[in-house]
Amino acid sequence: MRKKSLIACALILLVLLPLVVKNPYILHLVIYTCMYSVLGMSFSMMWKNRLITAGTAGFWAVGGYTSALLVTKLAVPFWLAMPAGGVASALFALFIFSIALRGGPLVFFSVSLVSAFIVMEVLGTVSFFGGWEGLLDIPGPRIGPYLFFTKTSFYYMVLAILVLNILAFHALYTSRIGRAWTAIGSSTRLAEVQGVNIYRYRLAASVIGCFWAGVIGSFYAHYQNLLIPTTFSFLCSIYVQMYALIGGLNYFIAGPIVGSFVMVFLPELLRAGQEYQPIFFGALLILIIIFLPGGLLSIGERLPWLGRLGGRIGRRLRLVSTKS
Amino acid sequence: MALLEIRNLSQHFGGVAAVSRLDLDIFDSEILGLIGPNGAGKTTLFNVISGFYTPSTGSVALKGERVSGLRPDEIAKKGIGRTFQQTVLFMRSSVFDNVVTGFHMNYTSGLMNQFLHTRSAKDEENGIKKEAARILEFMGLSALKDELAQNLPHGHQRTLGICVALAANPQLLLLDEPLTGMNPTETLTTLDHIRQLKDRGITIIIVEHNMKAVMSLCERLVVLNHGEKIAEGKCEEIQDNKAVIEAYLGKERR
Amino acid sequence: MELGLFFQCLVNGVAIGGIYAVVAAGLTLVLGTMKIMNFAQGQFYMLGAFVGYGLCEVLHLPYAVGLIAAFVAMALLGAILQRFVIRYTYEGFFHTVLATIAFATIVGQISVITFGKTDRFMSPVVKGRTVLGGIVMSNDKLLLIVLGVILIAALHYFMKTKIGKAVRAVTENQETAGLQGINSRQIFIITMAVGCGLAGIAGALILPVLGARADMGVSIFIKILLVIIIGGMGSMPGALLAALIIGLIESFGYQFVGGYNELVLTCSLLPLLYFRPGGLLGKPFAIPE
Repeated sequence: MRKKSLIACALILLVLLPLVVKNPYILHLVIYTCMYSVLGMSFSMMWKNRLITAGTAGFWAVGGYTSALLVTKLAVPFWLAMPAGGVASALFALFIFSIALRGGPLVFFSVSLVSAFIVMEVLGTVSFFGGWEGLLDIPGPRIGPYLFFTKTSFYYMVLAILVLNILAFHALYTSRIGRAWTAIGSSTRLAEVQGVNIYRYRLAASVIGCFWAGVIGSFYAHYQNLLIPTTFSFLCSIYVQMYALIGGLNYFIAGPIVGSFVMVFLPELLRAGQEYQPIFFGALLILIIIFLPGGLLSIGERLPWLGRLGGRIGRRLRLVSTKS
Repeated sequence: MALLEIRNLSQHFGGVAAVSRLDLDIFDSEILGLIGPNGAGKTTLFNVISGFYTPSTGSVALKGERVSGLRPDEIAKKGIGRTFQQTVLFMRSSVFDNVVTGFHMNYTSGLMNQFLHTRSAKDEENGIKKEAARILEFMGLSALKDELAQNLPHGHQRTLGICVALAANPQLLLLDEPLTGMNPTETLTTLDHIRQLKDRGITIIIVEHNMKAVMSLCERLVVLNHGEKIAEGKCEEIQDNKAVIEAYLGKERR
Repeated sequence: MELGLFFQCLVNGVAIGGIYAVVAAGLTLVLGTMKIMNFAQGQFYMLGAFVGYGLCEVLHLPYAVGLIAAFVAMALLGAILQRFVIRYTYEGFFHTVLATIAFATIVGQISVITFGKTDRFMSPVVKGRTVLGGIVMSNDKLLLIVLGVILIAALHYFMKTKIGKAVRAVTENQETAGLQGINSRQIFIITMAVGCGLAGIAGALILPVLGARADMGVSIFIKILLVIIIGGMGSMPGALLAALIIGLIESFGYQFVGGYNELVLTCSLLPLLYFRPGGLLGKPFAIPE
């Protein structure tokens, strides 16, 4: 119950946030945090099955371009285009991964990377998709008579998507499906012996994960009003992995959120030059992998250890009585 | 008719035959001991029966229905459960969750119900949780049900392995060295549990190096050496069998 | 199609395939032995090209020196990466992969900042062209093919030496190798050094033909991934075969389909994976639990 009230409080705070934060740039960063959280959770869902996707950006792009093209070329209303973006991404994932998964996790990993790369190449070279200059003048979302154009309105929209996403993933993770995924994640052999069809469950996880990547891609397209293929480069997929890892890979929902938050805001605090950012990220990532492989959230798990260490140092310094 | 029929079964790795031309019948509600020196092909046989390997030749049939060539999860659904030689558990889950996960195939409610957590899905969930608690009670792990599996002592991990296998509600249970790492008291209780499982109608094949335990447990023994069956019969017959003694102690030099 | 054009494509394909083969051989060696996907392989290739460029074009040293220096420098860097980063990523496969990705990102960005995104070309090593039965080939391309074959042969010979045998023993089974007194940590460092060194020397090899460029590492890595998927994860003959096939497809494809080359490649990959999930010459590769 305590957890539930905590979550309710957090939600109320998030809803009230635009009343407090008036700076549109900060709100923009919060919107990016939410977006990357959704992407990170999509990655986590596959990671729960010990599948590593290096192609999140590709599926993000598929969703974004599908939705943008539907709206601009076919004048489909936005609220239909957004799920369509998700479905397109999911179908693409179904097609690619139903084949790739036959080869096991490493082939899945490589194929996801290669297919994301190809998606970027195709989007850049085919003029129908706008070429390397990008797809411009994507209209903002319009639901009924309401036109989204302020940062606040976009913030509420992405918050709604994020909350829906969390609810859906939570429902999945606590059901039998989620338990089967956990089983596959901890031991494929034992999971198989207990009757889990590994191929099918892994495929389901990757398709569902890619669906949400597509949905948030659609949001991104209409929020930015333009799509440039190089946004969806290999580096972007890697960033998503970094966010999930930095938050904590064993926290399938909270990990990506915490990781995205830290990694979106930290560079802003450092005010590092744009081109030095990847170097900084890379170095930070290596340090975290070596010294805190469980991610930031695992600090909590390590607290008893820190406490013991503190006690030992305290005794050494005679700050704590050794007799008690 | 036999519950499990193994006919002319061979399993080659490269040029090496880990199991060769094996014929074996396992009857309903018996405990069959499978013994033999290290590398005799016992674990390989288990891996073939449970579907991790597709046999090079021959077949395995459960109740007259061919199961060899199916995937491990399909074979599990036909009613064959197993444990592993090295302890394999869902290490980062609690003991209770381990067993609940084991119930994977017993769910009947649809995926949509599962996703939406409807009433029927919840009822089913509760029923399964009760079942899981009963299994833990039966195997004597109730007190530890909230521990993480990785924190259990080794003997308890072995027991938990059996619990997880039982959760799948198998007709035939393959136990791969279930007594390794147990102290004498634990061994005795586990043997008792295995006997009770048999009384409940579960057929059991057991691979075990603890001969005293095997002799007290099994009605029938099969001895493998170099992948071939060298003896089969009642415990007393096996004890005096020349070929078996040779296999274990090596040929006496004359 | 003219016969001359055909042979032209053939030579180009073999040349580019040879480069892929050398880089992929390095990656496969590491993948097979250490069960690690080294993402920085492409960056080692890029750095190797720049080492060669710096020595041969800026300092005017002989090409052979550039080749050897590229190998040695990248081998050292690979050993350092193994010794000081990868060894400590004990949490598992994914952490190691991410560590190499992070390393690749750092190296890639530093070189983009230092070298900029322009092509650096080198003056030809062996001037002139060879005309053989109506086909015109630059001598550098022929040199590349010859050196590529020599390198693969050298790798083959290396695997027959004592160290190479130890590497193979570790590949088969780390525990058993340990029982035979093989220090797998040392072997890992050697494997990584050889694997990265091969990428470095491949970069120096391609230098006279295509030049050096700060982002050449990423694009070749995608190709190398295709190579090892098609060839079979961790299978050395598979990698060599697939490298040649991809080199040829690419060279002929460029003639016929132009810009959609990579798309064609990927589309041909999917049916192959459908029928042979483990690639041409491999088994499905399991990530250790």
